[in-house]
Amino acid sequence: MGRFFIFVGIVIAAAVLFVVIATSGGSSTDPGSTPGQGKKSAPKILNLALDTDPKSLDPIGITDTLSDGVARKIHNALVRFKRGENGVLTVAPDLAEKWDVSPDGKLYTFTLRKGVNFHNGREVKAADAVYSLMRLLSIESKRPDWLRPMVVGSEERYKSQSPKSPVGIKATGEYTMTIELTAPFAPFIQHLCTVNCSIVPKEAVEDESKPFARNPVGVGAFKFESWENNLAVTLTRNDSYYGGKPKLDAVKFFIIKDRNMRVERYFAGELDATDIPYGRMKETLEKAKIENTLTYDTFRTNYIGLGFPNGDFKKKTQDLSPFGTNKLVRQAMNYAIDREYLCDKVLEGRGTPAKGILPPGMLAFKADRKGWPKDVKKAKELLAQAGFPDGKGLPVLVILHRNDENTKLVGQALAHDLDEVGIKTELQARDWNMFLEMVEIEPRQCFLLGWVADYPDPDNFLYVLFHSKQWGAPGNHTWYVNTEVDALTEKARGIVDMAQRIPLYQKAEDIILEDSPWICTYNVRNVVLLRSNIKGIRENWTPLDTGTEFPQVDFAIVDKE
Amino acid sequence: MQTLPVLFGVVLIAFLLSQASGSPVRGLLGPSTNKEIVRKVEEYYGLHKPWPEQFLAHLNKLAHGDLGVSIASHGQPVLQMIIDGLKVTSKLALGAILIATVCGVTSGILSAWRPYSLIDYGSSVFAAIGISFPAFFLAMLLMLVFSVSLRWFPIGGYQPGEIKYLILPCFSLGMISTASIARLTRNCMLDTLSQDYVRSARAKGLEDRSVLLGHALPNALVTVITVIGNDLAGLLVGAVLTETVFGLPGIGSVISSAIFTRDLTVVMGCCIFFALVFVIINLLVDLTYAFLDPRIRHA
Repeated sequence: MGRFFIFVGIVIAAAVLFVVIATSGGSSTDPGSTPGQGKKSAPKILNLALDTDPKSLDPIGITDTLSDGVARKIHNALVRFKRGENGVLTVAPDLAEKWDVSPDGKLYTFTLRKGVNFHNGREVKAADAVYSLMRLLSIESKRPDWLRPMVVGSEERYKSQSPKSPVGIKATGEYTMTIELTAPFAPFIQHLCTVNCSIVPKEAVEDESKPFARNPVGVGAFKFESWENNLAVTLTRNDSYYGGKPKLDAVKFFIIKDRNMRVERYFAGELDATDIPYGRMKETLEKAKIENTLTYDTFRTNYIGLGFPNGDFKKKTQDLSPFGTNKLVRQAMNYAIDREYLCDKVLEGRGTPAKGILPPGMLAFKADRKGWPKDVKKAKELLAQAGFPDGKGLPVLVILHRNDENTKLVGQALAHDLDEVGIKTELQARDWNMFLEMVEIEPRQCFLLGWVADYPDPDNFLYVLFHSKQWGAPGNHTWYVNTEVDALTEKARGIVDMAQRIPLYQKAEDIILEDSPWICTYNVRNVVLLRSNIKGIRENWTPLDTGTEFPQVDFAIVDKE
Repeated sequence: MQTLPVLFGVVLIAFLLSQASGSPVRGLLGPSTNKEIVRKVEEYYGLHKPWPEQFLAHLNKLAHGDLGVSIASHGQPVLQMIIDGLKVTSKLALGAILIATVCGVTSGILSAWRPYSLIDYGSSVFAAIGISFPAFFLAMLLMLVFSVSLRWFPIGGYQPGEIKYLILPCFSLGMISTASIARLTRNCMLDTLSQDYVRSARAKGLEDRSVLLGHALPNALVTVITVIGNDLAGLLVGAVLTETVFGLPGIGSVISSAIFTRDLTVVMGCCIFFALVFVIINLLVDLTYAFLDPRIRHA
């Protein structure tokens, strides 16, 4: 019996140990507390959710919308996007109180605000802005393309990584700076609105004891407080924010990977906003009630891409014909897709049928485009004209797509529509890394992808995604080429006057739609839960926003009543 | 002495598999980039070097106790990531193995005390359910009932110092091990109880309780301890599915994120940690054998 009692003793000791360690280690990550608040009335903390940890909070390391959404609360740039009364986005002053552009469109002169401080207390000067922008050309930068090749010397600096290589970004005074371009480039000022161009303090970046990507210091309305992997990112109010003391005490982003769990925790009162799981739209909206929801259209568009046999490839792993070689087949696919059903039933209202490349609200968007209402008869006629009556003789269309819930649903719906007109398909899912590598090394027969606008300019769609210099990784994943589209988009980006640019982009889009390298499917409409006592977001969202992070909304004015 | 070759083998295999899965850089760069940017960033992380050179660099760091930094998490030390994950997983593992041991051994004792009775059959059914239920299914079921419907426990998530976040995950994981421990305890005890010396002891008037708990159980525990040790080691290396369902930031979440983002240094660091866990747990199990079985102690 002695050994039995010893065994029982060990179990009891282990139980005591469990209780001790399970109840230890409590900290200020309790959602009911805010550091430094003491025992006052309940602090105003906006509780949001992310489906994964941010990749980085260092401006030059951000390439995804989730990290952008968090980082924008911490960082500010020279300029920012602002939503005008008529809903059109314009470039507005941020850390730069004003700027001028030379008549030839090549020299930008910025005057910074005085008395604006970083979170570490030091004043922001022009030298900080120069330092921050030059970081975009460093070897670790993920977005050097915001400056190169348009800024003088940027290409040489990036290639050589030599600090002595001169670049046309200079501080001309304590609060003034210039940026010189090699040629006029209309979207350049919009590049400077991106989070990657945020202004940061050198001493914080170079503090090796705190990796800057995980310990950011900025100018923004909120300061970085803590980041616990797979748990939460916490930001606290910057009382000396130049735009006015924020109304919220803190913003907390919980990392909750599962969509269903996010919505359950919303209804349990732990979150103030969340997205809605697939298949639960109706019940969730009924339970949440209309005043606690927000629907907004975005500059995100989704499409079926068809690879063209262009470029120099010694070995093609797939035969791209006839989908990449016969325009009639692609046009038939356009009329086979039931976009209304896709948006209403499959996506449960999370999309609007696409009628062109540019999403509604984008400059140069043509509102009178007819689009492609589902017409099985017309689709079959086009296929017959192409030499494939009822799809006979067509190879199986292998549709490559990302392995996520949304894309799988869309893929299945599209496959069904194509099958109806005689186009047999095979869906192949890949994880994101592998999918990107596959669509970038050579043109693929067919793939599903989307595009999120970085800024509200048609150049960000029509040049980036369809110019022949952009084949592969830069954005033209179909390897499409049309010399007239190349010429139109090149000409348009060199003209500063928007009124002159619009007709060029509209003509380019007409040509692209005729050639149909894309089967445009839908533009993303976000339907999210947002408590009615949260003020400042409903009135200020923009089509560049995503999810519930709202990177473009000025969180200094957001309030929780 | 055997530990070092084991660790070297683990590091080598983890490295080779990670190299085969491809570069982590592309996923860091977003949908629009170009080959030059990819090459420059790979150069920044030292990924452009030939793989033997990379491997030797890793070994050199490991020899100095440096597990390196994460690429996907932009410079966070791997050791810190493992420690942070372990803080949560160790609590989860301890709680789960306690539940499994207490419930499993108790159930086994009851079944051995009254074999082929209602108690025994009930325990068999329970064992069958526990072994056949997928871990994530049991976790989701418990969450649906006790968190979403009854609101007795939080709906996933974690707060350090708050035991309520650990109850359901520990119970969910513990139930799976309970089944195997219960059946093993029962069978080992019945085996001991059928021995001649036990029949003799009973014939001489020794109480049932003494026979069960003083003779049959300690002999059964020698075998059960192995299962408890293996299960504990398995839990410490991360119950990925349970951690995912309940949103716990444990070591399972660390390695699953690292695998999907091809974060080589984190994967290798976790593999070394897992190998060490198994080595240490095996050692503890062997020591416990010696304690429980005098024959091994005196051998």
